[in-house]
Amino acid sequence: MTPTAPLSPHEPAIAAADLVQFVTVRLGGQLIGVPIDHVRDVFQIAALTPVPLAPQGVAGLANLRGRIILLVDLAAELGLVSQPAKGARLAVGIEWRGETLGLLVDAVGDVVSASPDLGAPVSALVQDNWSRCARRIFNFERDVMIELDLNALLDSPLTKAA
Amino acid sequence: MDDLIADFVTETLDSIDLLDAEIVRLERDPTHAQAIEHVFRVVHTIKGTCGFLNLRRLERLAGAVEHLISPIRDGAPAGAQTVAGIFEALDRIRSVARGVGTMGVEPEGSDQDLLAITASDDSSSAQASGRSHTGDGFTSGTLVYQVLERPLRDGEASLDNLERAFQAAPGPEAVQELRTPNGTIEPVPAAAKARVRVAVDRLDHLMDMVSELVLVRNQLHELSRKDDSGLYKLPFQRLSHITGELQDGVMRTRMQPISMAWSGLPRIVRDLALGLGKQITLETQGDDTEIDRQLLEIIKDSLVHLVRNAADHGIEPPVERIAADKASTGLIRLSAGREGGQIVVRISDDGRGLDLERLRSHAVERGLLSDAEARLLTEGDSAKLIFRPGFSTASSVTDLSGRGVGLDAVRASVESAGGTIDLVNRPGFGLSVVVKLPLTLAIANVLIVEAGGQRYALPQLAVTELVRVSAEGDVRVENIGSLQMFRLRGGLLPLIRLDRLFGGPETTTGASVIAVCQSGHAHFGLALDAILQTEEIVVKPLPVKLRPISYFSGTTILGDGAVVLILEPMGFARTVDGTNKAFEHVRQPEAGETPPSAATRILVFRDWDGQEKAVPLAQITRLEEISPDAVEKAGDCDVVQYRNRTMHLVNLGGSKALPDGSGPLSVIVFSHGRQTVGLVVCEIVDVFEERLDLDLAHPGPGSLGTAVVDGRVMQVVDVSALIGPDMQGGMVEPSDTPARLILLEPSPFFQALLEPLLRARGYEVAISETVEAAQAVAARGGFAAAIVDLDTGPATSAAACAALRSDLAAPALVVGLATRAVAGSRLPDAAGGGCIVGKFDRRRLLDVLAESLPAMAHAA
Repeated sequence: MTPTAPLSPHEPAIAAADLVQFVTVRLGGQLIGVPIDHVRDVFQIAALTPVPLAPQGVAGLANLRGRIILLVDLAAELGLVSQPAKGARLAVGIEWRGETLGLLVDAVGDVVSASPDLGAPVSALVQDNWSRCARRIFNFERDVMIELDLNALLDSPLTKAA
Repeated sequence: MDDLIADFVTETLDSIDLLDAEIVRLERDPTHAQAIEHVFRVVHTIKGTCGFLNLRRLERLAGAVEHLISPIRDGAPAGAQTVAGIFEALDRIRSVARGVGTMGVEPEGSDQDLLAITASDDSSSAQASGRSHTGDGFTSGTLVYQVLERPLRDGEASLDNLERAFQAAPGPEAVQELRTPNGTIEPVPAAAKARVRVAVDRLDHLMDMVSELVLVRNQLHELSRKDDSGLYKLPFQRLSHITGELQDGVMRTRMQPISMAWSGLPRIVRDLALGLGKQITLETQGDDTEIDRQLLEIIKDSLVHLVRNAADHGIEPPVERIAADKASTGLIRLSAGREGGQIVVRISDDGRGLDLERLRSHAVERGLLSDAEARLLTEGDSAKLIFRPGFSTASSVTDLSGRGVGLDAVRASVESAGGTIDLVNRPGFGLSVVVKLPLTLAIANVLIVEAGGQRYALPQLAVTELVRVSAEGDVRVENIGSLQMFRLRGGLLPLIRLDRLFGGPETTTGASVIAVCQSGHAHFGLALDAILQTEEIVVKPLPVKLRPISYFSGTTILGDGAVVLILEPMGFARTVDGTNKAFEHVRQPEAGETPPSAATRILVFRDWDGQEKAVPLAQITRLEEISPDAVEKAGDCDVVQYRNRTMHLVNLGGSKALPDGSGPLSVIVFSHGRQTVGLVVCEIVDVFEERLDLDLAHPGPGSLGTAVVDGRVMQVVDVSALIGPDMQGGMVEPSDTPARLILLEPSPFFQALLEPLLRARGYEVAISETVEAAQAVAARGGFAAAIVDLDTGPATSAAACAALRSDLAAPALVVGLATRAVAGSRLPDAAGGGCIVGKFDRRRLLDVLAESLPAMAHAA
């Protein structure tokens, strides 16, 4: 780990030893990291009930072992084109303000640890949709991972239907 | 905060609420031994507990109450002063206990005032009762003495000794010690029943788990049906049975007696009666009827409000009651009970009931209804006016009710709990409000319906009937432009196509079934593809992100594991309200909202001469279909009985006779003032929304002129000619110096309607579309009056009137124009206090101008 200066003056300094863990997912070919603290589980979606008149970012409702969860169409929110594998769709269940939500993804990968210091600020590197929901960019050896900013994604109203 | 203190605070607040009721009882019947004992015991418990929780202020207050009640216990009469003192002290205890609840410590403050009352009362009552309360073992200091009015039994410690033990006890552990059942503590029956306080969220969690169990059971049921071996049959039945029991049991734990909601009412009624100088008895029935905790919370305030209302507005003062040959004491009866799968709560009084005529005129004054609409209301609908927003019958806001929470809020909260509210009015003899509530919010009876290829759950409570749509049956769906309506027993109801509204694939069947729903005062139909089954569902909340969608109230999981959305009838009612408004009358737009000035909704119909003709939708009251058999002859006129009145039928052909035809007649109903006229037309074609540019060059009989609608030229019907006597003739001689007017009217339609009329009367007219333009014109000088459109919003228009007036040559006349003017209404003084005239009431406008302008000319 290379200790460097804190990411930005607004963020508290984090000791170098503090690794942040992410559940990595793939969506439209892009590697995305979801902070592990928020992830409850990963599950397959058997049936999805669409919600009429819902904001565009809402994919629908699903029954997760007796709990009703809202599925967020992450691809639509980020402006990506989903490339789902065959079979049932996958979702990452996240705990959000006391509710469980599911983020629809194409595939789920490993859990990775990274020092937050390695992340670069998002700046203008990425497209508009991304700059809203991306927190940091991690440049790994083979791939670039974008850390999902759940606050930004879920606190703002989801994209309104056209 | 200390758990112990938290428990104490809840318990104290609960028991004080109960005490209020007991003391009211005591005030009526001072010898009510049970009530005295109860009050004494509760106060004593509070005092004792405060002792070892070290809540000195509360302890002193409880002591004071105890002190006041002791003489009554000893047989002294409960004087008004004493009762007032007790109430005051209880209120203080309540507020201090609340303070403890929020801050953890007693709030600062002095109770000397109360303690002084106690002291003075003590001396007088001690004399009155002539008994000494001296017991053994007086303590000094802040302790107030107390009595146990039976000799001590063997092994019992005196109260004061106990008190001292309380004081000496070090802390919470000591509670255990003192509570050790060694037979020495005075039994406290209220707490003696084995009860456990459980945090509500634990119960909710339990309920969630049970709901899930129910779902699993339903799933197993599906599986076991497919299994032929019968191996699972018995165990499944047992599982099913146990699940049912468990569900019932858990639901029960969330139930509370409804008396929890009304325990405070005796006190409220007492205070109200005192304040209003009335005599009121409150009777309750079915106190132990159990109701879901959540529901209880929702309707609690509503019950209080309804009882307040009964006491304040329903029950008459004694003099009035005696004059009406009633007992001087009014009665409010509160009853609750289970009827079928519902809880029914009735709040009845034997007061004056609702004066429907007054309600109607009040609603008209408030601008909630037009005169015409008011006269068409049935009795039941008139009574329900009190639930309209912005309606309050109290002419003055009294201290006790009418605090801004209207009955519309009551209705809204009852409906949000999935309930209904109804009125049974007996004018002169009282009013009953009937509130029906589901047993619980967690479980609902629904219809599983299908629309647009998706399933939804529709709460059965909102559904009044289901009707099947067929080409030859009674129920037919009609397209009137963008609006869909259907006919049900002679009435036209708006229809909502779920598939269209929800933007899903339009199913080929369109609507095969209509669920007729009622929510609030809105009646409407939901067009569905199919009704699949009825089901008892477990209601789950809607995810936060979906809550802004007003058409859904929750979600649920069906037996097959599918998630379905629960439809919210109130949401549809709001949508329908919008179309109703458009359909019946254009109401005053909300402040700040500018109506689409150019576009007008225009109904096009085919007349008997085969021509299409147009009439602005705003002028139409209703569309009806009337059977030819219902038409009667009155002289040489055709009339029908319509909503308990006689309606003249006319047609534009000029002939009084109705066209022959076997089918029902399509009738456009117009109302104005006291008149209702039905225009019999060949066929309703459509509704268009577009700019109505009226060409007045070719007016015909009964026609204002022509306009282009939907690319075709058609005549525009002159509604005022149909309703009122002929407007033709009566031209005035143009005066030497014509009066000059400003017409501020953004709508080209009304510009075109009014300008020629005014010119024909000899006025010079300048038309402006905006206030600024009008002001600029006015600044040129020489204008005697301004006619101002008020439909753009009351606030802006009033300001516009005031601004214009200052620019006009004094003394200026400003006349308001509104689509829906209430007779006799006037502009605010700042705007000159001129008349407000209906837009279609051309005669009135001319009269107002004629009356005022010559007079002004003289004055000028």
